[in-house]
Amino acid sequence: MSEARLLGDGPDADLPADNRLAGESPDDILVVETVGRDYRLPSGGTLSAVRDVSFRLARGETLGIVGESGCGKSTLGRMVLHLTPPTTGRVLVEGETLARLSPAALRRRRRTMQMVFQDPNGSLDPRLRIGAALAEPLVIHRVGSRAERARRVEALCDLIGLPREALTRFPHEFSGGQKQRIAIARALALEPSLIVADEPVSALDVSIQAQILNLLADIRERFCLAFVFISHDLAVIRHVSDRVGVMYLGRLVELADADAFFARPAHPYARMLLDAVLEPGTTLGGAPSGAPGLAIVQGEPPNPEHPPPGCSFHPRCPLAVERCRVETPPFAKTQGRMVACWRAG
Amino acid sequence: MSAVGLVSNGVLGPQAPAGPGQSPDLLQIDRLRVEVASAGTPIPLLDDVSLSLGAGEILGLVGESGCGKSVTALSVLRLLPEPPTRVAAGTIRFENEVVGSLSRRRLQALRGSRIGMIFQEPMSSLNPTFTVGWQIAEAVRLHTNLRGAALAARVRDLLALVGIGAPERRLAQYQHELSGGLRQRVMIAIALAADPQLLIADEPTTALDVTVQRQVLDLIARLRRERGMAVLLITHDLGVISGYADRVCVMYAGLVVETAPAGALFVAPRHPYTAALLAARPRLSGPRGRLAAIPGSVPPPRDRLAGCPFTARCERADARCAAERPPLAGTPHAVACWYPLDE
Repeated sequence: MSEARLLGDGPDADLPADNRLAGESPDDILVVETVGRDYRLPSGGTLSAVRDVSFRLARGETLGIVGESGCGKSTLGRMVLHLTPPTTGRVLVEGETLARLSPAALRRRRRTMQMVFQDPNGSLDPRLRIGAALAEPLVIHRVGSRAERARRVEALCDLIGLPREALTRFPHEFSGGQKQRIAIARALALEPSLIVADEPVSALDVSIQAQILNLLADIRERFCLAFVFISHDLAVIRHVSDRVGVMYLGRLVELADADAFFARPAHPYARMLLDAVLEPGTTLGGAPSGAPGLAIVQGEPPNPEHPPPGCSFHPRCPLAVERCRVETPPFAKTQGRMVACWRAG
Repeated sequence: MSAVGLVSNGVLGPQAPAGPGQSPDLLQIDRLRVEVASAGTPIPLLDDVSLSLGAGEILGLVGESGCGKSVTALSVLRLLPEPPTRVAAGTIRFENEVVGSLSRRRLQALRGSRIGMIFQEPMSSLNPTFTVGWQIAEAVRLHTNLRGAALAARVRDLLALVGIGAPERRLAQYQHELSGGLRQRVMIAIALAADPQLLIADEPTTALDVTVQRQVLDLIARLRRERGMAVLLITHDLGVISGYADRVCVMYAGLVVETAPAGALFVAPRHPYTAALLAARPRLSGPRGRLAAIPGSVPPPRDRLAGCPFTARCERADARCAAERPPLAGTPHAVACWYPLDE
């Protein structure tokens, strides 16, 4: 247990030499280096929720992280903000290694990085009026005078398109979409430069989801915010992302520019994931194997407690060959993107 | 994949009997109004809901939270608690029998035997203290006279039918040992125990991953094809409806606002709400600009106007829409709107 809890600094030598795509700015706001998170299980085994994930994020850029339940995307998001310390590798925000920061320095650092969760009810204290909820981060970080804080809170209220009267009301008086707006405003209170949004629109109806996605696009542009946007919904990911990362069983299996990715995903899992999405107006019929030329992914993701040897996707992959069953493919550059697959291309 | 004509789903199986004078529908809901008691006047959950489902047909019931799609499904099986809810008007007929006047015994025979039902969350429908095999066997025992070896054989057949391999091992497992997709397959096996004519599937794949969703929906489509079972497929997901339903009913704020063959609905929606809902969705292709969000939110049941409930959010609405409720008119593509999109 003690070993699993150590906040190791990832050995720099393990960092893949070329893990960034051309065209990224040199002053990336976020650098994630070979991070992993292990959990010791009561049974004595180890569960690797995230393994060996590396990526960078430029200021104002949005990286979409997509994957199915249990793929480790939420754990990765929490590690980016050091809410869950990685057990291997390291996370740098604006050049500072989070694990090396003193508790006081980490607290200061947290002003610049915030999180938005799927369920706004979990982010809002039911007994706190909206005005107080929005002021709370400012109070905790001792920002401004009382009058300045009040002005900031009103500005936030305007920003998310709620009437000022909302500030004196309680969370239960608002709809789910409005509550998510408030949670977003609260995350913006300290003027962060990095936001991790974990399924921020997944609990919302389509008509409300569009409102929130538009709001996120507005604030992203206005404040030059960098986003790690986690979702299981590929259409949402396509809509918000500059780049896309696909996770499977704890690993990043593809990282590519959004346009290139959606034009042609390189990893077989990513391709099958995209093929499985049902869109209105396109038909897939009830044919057991889906549309011509496509295959539906068979089976379900394996138990992360006992990941298959070699490539984790090989038991479900129609392209798998002997090598895939034995050797873990490296996360390597191919076709202008990063892919972990022996058969990619 | 853009060949929209394929959406008619002729490949999927038997087409529903359509048009007047043909064989009667399996399920017929006629002007149903369901209310829930409150301190003041009762609040309507459903108002004037009419829909029909032919034998072997897949009818998609689509709408956002609170639109009444689940209340409609629960009303069919009379599973809503009475009180506080009450069927205030209208009738539900299943195989020409009025569900509201069935005796308790007949109602029991309807539930689970002639109509099977599956829900979004298989976890809360399965009993964690019994094995999967026991629970499937219980359903068979309840609805058939099979016992002993015949019963065991039937349970194994049901597992094979829903595509669960290694039956001996699975039968001895508990729900926590199964993945979400397998749990939903077990629920379908239980729902099929008595070979129902209608399967009501309420958000059957909403809790599942997209790859597993396709597997479960394909299973439902195959069962319909092979057994001629009708399906009432309830979902908020227009993509699911588009891929699997023959006809679609769009609900909004307790009303059916549009009903049409699936192909027609997605190519040329007539109700402004349906069109707005389709436009608000982020897409996998096409431009990535601003989404056409629908302003405002669904009015809560107690604040619904006399007129069309979409009035406050509708670009085309005028005074008439606020005052007068438009009837659902047109066949086979019906719309409840004073100013539908093709006029």
